[in-house]
Amino acid sequence: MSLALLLAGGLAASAPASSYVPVRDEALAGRAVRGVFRAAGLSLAAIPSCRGVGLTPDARTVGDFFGGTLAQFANRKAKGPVLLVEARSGAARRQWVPVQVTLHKAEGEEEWNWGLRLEVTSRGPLAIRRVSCLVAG
Amino acid sequence: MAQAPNWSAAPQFLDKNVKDFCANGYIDNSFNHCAHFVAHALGLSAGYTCKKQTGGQHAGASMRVHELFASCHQVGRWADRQGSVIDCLVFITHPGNVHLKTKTMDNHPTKHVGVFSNGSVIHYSNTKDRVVRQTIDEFKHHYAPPYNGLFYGTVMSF
Repeated sequence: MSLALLLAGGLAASAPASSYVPVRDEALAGRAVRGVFRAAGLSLAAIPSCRGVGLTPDARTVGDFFGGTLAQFANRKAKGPVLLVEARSGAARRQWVPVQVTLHKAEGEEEWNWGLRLEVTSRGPLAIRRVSCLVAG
Repeated sequence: MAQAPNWSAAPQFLDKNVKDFCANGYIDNSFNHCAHFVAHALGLSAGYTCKKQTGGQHAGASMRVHELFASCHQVGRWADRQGSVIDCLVFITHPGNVHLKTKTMDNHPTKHVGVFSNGSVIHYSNTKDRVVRQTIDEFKHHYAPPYNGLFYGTVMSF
């Protein structure tokens, strides 16, 4: 499995006012990814944006969703970054930082970018809140 | 009272990027906008919408293919589509992800949807980042086998 952590550069995305930008601070990137693992036990049914997003009928948790999505990359080569770690622009110094951790696939006519948005503490013990699922397509 | 979809509206979206039709700001080009385009073009708001995602102030449009599929009035294999169904949604995915008896589709990422009207498919190309028109034969090659199973869905109104 090929994983690339996007710490610099990034996709040519549109830039709405509250856009997320690639995380350049490795410590914050680590907190964001660890935050995803921390959210793994949350019930998909309990989060409006996550209802019904499991890739298999038996998916019940955020971990089931993210793990199922990650498995789409098993043993595949990728042309670009697979794991995108982004934070809301200008928020890195806040106590709670809105981050976006997504898995990006671009292969042939297939392009999607699925994952989670959440807030993580920027320092001290890692805590998370406001978890939502990013799934479209 | 809900309105029936305006199928003739889809061609007006040709060549447009998502930023041109989503006033709710769900316009990141790295995201998949196939269901999002179909829903904006036809005014469909089943399931999770761009408005819910962004907290926008404008009419919300569906974002997920499997939620559009489940909301269709009638679904079936493309080969079984009756000649009287001239305007419909066209879905492409692995046939194993589609459960016709329960009118459900698994949320596998390799799935796509377009608007079939006037004999052609209008859909959002996520690699070209714009709405395109193809023949159904071209659309059949959107994915390689076994992900190229074609299905239709009729839409009444929501």
